[in-house]
Amino acid sequence: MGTKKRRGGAQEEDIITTEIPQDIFTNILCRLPVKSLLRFKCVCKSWYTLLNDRAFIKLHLNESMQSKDGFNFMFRNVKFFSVDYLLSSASFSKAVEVDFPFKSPSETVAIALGSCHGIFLIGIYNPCQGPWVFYPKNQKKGPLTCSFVFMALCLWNPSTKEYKKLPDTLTKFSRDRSRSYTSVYGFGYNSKIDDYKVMRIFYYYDVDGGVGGCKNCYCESEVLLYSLQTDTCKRIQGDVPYYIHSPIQRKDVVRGTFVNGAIHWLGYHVIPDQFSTQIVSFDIANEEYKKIPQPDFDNTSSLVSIDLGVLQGGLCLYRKYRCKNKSYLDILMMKEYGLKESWEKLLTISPFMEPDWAFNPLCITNKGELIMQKRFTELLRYDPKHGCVIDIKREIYDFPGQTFEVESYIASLVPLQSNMYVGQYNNYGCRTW
Amino acid sequence: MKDSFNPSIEPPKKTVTLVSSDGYDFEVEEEVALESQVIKDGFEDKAVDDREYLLFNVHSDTLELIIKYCEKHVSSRKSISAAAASSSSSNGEEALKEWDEHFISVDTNTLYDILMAADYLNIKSLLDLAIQKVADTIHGRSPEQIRKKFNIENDSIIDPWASE
Repeated sequence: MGTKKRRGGAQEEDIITTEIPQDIFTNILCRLPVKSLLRFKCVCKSWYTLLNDRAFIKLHLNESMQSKDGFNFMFRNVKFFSVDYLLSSASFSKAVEVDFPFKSPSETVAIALGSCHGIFLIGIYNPCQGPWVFYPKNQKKGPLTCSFVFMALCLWNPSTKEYKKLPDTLTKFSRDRSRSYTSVYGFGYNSKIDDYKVMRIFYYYDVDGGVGGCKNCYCESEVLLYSLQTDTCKRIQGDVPYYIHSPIQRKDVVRGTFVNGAIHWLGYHVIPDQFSTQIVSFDIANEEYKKIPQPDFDNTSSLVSIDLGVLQGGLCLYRKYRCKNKSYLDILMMKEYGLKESWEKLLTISPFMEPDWAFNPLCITNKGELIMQKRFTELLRYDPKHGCVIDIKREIYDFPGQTFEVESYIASLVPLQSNMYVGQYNNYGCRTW
Repeated sequence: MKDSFNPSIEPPKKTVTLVSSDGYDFEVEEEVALESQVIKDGFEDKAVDDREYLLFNVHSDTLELIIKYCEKHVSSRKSISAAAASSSSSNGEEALKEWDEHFISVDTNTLYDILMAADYLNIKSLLDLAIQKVADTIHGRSPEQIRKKFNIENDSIIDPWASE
């Protein structure tokens, strides 16, 4: 073959002399983290146009969802903090505080009610005025009916800082407010029409009626569905056929789990004699409630609690139970959506369980380790191969003595079409609700 | 059977000739050349003695690297499936990943030559590898560095929300 000379001199080593075709270029940018892309918007006009293009944003989102580079976490105690977890180095980035919409020191607090494609549904309330908590009278057992009264609900993309205040109808009561109620939220995406939807259910209770284990669970329900595309709310007629409840009493409001085009919660069927917990779903596209088949459990163990979540894109059931004086947590995944036979046990965690500890699995790393939150105060990495647990909270941020909430999300450029940004000078609507 | 053609008496190693843009011939095994989707498409329709491909867009320097990559991947796939068949433990996938990482750690212009050649020859795994490498090398850069790297003129309208 003979000896050949390299083209280009060493002095221009870092400059690309080759013209790169547009599709390859798009592909390269699709693999960059959101932070880099936001910075690169000001490279030139054509990059700015590409990075604001909806088709590109979708491509980038799909790439991020498939990529196995890492995870993003959103922490909240009083403030919000975003943290990235890089799988290649198995390490966390520094926690960065993220300002939420309508943030004003000591006057507003926000709570995440759901997330999808890097967008969070958040509820904002005034800690001095609320939250108002109701306990049903004559309560013997069953879930508490406690609920926040929000000043506003917002959709918020913490990566781009864009937010969208949702119509006030979503936080308003159509019934007498002195009656106790439970609020349920869901947030998801309708891929058929490329639209994000927020669902809100209020259950109003009969004042003298109780909840859990008795007749007349609740008097009536009121369901609203908000569409981001049309920026409108619509009422879904008829009562919800299920009583959706918070699985563990740690949750102040009931949040949904969005998987496969539907929002999922745990609930009872309203027919009183069928009082076992079901997985209830609401399909965003055809607006139908459905019961999702559950795995069968053996009867030798006594159930402590059950919860829903998403790991590796699949609907998961977290089942805590006691067996022979030991506590266990099973993580089961529905491998094929809707198919009862496809429920599969991913993990059983036992050695460090205590029955009253709240566990919140967050993600599974490429090494098969589970990152999870324990008791609102600890963040753990559990290695099932060796059965060992490492406290990783300190690697991120020390929230001394404070409880925190955390969830994993996918950072995205998805726009909310509002052109309102947190920290923007024209802070429309702030403290005017 | 109308055809008397019997594959078992074919010579075990069939070869294909790849010709680089600067006129060098590379004789490679058929299965190595078939890593390229472009060569694979319509391969069977081509007469056996006409299996010569003129690659006008690939310089011999780059072609040499591409062939090295394809040969490695063909042989690794064989040893991985052999290990799986004999159910012996193998870290073939891991080793190949490491090999890939080493392979793609080249200077900028070579990287872009590989990228363009992988696109032209439609070798998906190599294109992915090269694209990811480019993404890894630019993600931490400043807009100014990016402009310099890609030789882009600054005609930017500053977006105040992009500057952080």
